Amino acid sequence: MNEVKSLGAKELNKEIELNVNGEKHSLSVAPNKTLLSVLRSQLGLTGTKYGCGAGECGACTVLVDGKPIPSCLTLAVAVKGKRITTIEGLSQNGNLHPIQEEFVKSMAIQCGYCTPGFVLITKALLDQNPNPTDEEIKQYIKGNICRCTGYVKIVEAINAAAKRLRKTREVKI
Amino acid sequence: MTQEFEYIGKSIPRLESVPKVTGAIKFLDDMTLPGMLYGKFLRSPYPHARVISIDTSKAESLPGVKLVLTPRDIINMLGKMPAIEQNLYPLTEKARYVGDEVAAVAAVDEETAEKAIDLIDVQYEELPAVLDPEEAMKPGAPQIHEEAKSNIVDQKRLRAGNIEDGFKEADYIFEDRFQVSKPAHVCLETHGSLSSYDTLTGKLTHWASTQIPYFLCLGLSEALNIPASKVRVINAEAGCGGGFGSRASALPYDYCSAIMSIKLGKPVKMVLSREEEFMATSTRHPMIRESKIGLRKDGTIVAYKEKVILDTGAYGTWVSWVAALTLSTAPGPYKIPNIWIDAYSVYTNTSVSGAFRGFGNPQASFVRESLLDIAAKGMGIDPVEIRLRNIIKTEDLPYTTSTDSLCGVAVLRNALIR
Repeated sequence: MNEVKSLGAKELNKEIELNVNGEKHSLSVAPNKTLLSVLRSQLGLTGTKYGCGAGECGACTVLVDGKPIPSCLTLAVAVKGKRITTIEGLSQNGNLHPIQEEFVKSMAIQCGYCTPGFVLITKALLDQNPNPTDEEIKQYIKGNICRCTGYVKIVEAINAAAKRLRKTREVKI
Repeated sequence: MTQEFEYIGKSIPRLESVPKVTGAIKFLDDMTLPGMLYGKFLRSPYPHARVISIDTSKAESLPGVKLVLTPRDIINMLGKMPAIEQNLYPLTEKARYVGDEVAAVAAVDEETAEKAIDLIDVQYEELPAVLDPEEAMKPGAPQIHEEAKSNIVDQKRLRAGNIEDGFKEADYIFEDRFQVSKPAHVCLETHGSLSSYDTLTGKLTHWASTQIPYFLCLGLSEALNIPASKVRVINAEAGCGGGFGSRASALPYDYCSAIMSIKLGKPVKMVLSREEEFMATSTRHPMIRESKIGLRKDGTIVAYKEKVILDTGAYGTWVSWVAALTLSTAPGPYKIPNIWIDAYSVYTNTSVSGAFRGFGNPQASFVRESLLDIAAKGMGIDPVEIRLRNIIKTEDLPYTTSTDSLCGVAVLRNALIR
């Protein structure tokens, strides 16, 4: 989806190393492939979702060096060597990250399609602002769309996660 | 003394929340099967056009392309299409809206399928298009479905009491014309399906993100002449990524992924892009309503008359049902003794309308409530007060409205008072 068609020839493939969730992958990647496409098709990390292919909905949000980016608009070759975090990298040893736990507890999940993007945008927010106001939360998540319209619960979950992370002072994943 | 219960009075986390929050749960497009092919559609760029010829040779010779499907290829396979979708076919030789499915491709990957679509050469004869339902109703308007008598696909009348007597009783009459727009559901997960046909047993397994697995099973069975016992519809593990009514129909991707899988004996997945989602999945029915309300001096409603035109688009799904519901919900929670409504559902050369949260009720309510506001202003009555004077009260319950809906809406009255 959403690739630059004329650049698709295999002979133009680039050999790159992607650092995803702390694991290094050597990949042969067409230069027109988006990070979204490579994560899903080549690495099997399907937690990152296609929603619009235009950077409008936030479903494909991943963190690159801690910053949230739309992976549908990012070429995979452009993030080689950078630290990429997807939803699959958030829980550790089978334990949910506190943000994930609070999303579950607050019932901030309906159909679940937007959830990975919301969890990661929350991670980015709380890493830089451990004590956001409701207004700051809403501003920060405005690029993520939940069509089931569960925003009230999502903001509740983010507040609960912020509170808990401040208590435990757990910042790093 | 309050008793502690294990479940009652507690928020119990949903079982699927954990796999959803870790991204582990599989939505339809997260699924792959061994040997799976990817399907794409060629869509009409014209709102109304006849396909004169389709040359698939270039597309077929592209490496990685396994099948190019045209309407002629499937005509002998098709049985009866389901009744909820008006005249909707998997592929069409006559495009009736921009986005109508004219051909399909199955290839080893999505990119190859997309390239193959670009290589299909279609000659169209453009036909005059009609985009406005009122124009489409007129005699001599371009005929969208030849086999139909006119573009009016469904007519419904609702009569309660005596409308003329009702308006005679009225001290005030207000009327206006309302147009309700065509919103899209915009489910965050785009629509799609994954079909796998077992040539050995003749069984079709069809994964979908659907709100209607059983309808879909029967639809595929009847349309493709396969016994229902040999069609298994499975919702994707995650269910659907938003539905809101838009996944309450069997659409061309369902049929075409199944047909291509049957022809190839391999799994075929078809998932729409966001652009296709806007173009070629259903929307809410836009409506034009000419509405008239009669009230006594004290604000009591005595008569309500409407002419309703539903724009069902090029095909429409659930048309008759949405029309029926927009009539029966027209009086809302009010006691209105005399009602007269005529509803016309009309084909236009626009994208398909269908089920959407509320199913005709939001359109009816928007118009009725707007007209009540106009009446309240015109009569100098408080807008809440005018509603309280007409709303069904607790002591009236159970109350059967003049449109035969059984009503239990005391909560609405309480909400109004608050």
